[in-house]
Amino acid sequence: MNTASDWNELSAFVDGELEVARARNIAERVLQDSVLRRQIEDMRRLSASLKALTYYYHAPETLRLAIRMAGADCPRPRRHGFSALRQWFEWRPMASALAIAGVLAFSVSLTQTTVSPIDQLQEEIVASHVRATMSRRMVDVASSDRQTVVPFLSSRLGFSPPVDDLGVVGSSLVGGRVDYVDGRAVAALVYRVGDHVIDSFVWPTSKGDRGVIQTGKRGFQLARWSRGGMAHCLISDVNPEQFSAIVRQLESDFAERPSS
Amino acid sequence: MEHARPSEHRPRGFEAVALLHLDAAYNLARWITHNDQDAQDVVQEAYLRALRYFDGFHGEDARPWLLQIVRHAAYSWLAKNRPKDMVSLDDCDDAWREVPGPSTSEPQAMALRKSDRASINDALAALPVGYREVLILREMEELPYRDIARIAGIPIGTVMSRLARARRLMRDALLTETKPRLRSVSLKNPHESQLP
Repeated sequence: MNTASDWNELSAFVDGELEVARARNIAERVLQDSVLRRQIEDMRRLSASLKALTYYYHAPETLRLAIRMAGADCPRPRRHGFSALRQWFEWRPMASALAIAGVLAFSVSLTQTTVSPIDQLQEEIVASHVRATMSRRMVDVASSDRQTVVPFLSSRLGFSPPVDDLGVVGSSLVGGRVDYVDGRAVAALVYRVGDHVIDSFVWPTSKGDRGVIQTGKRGFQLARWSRGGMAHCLISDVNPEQFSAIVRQLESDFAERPSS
Repeated sequence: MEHARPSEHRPRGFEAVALLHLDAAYNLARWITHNDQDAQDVVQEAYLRALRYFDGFHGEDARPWLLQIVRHAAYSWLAKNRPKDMVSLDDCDDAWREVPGPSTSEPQAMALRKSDRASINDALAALPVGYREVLILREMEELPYRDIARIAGIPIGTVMSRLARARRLMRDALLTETKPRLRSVSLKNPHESQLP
């Protein structure tokens, strides 16, 4: 595995882009070859770090507005949109000046809100999940028994996180850890479904109940909801369908539980 | 939003398609130009161009189509403003094959684990643009090799070897990062150093 072509194959294998026969060949060799296994694991880890830690630059509002205005100006976007966009382009110096004036006027209040709190929270959840799965410290307490996991966490957190089965065949509770998200210590329950790890973050909230919002972020599935004074956020790299099923199951479990 | 596929519907006009892929367009332009304002200019110019050809666009996947135009505009910008960044990549270069491959004796897993957000972003920003763009399209946009090939205007085989090489460079950068060494310094904006 020391040549460029092997490295190329490995990289394509990890991307799921290698042709079937070759991919099968690697998959077979992996079983006996622990070195190869390590290499694949390292490649995946690098890929996960890139997904989770690189900056994704979202289009600034001024740019979005410009494109939207160009479209809104014209009932028939194909012809008139062109001139509208071009017009905007020509007026850009003034638009920029106005934008800058606006930004200056509101800079005090805006500095804190350029990244929405939800985005910030999701970024933290993704980072925490990736960090934990990459390191050896996935759990502080390793047990599939909730009677062991819950007391451990509640003694350190000052609240008792609800722990439930995922309700999916082949899933198991791996344990729990104390993590730090959104400026507070939270409980992270770690489950395993096949090769995939699922982190379930739980912390007390004073806000009311909120339904499930599921999003995809950097290749991970995320879902958040609040119920009975507890905020939940689930993250994993399982496929979206399976993830939705797990979320439904968990959310309904918590709904049936009398609030303690 | 992220799963919405414009190809499944007839495009409802340029605005809808354009807005849907605006983040992807801006992110790519931003990583190529290294600058907010320049990235905005590049995207606007690209969208202007895209609008011109929009009549000829019929329901294929809009994302690679748009990103191809954005990349082209970004490269035009590079050629004009940062010609030094336009290094041509020798995709047949075999020299790096002689470098020992991933060996298990190296504590690379440790190194990668330690690498934080700043060093990963620095390392990515320091990659030659040809490697940087394929990595961005693959890891951030999660595009298949076929789409990356189309956007970057290279054969699929070259996408494969460039991605592999890019990952190798990233890994090496992150490994050396953990040893005390000189850090790479990002290229200075030539405009900044000029006197008025």
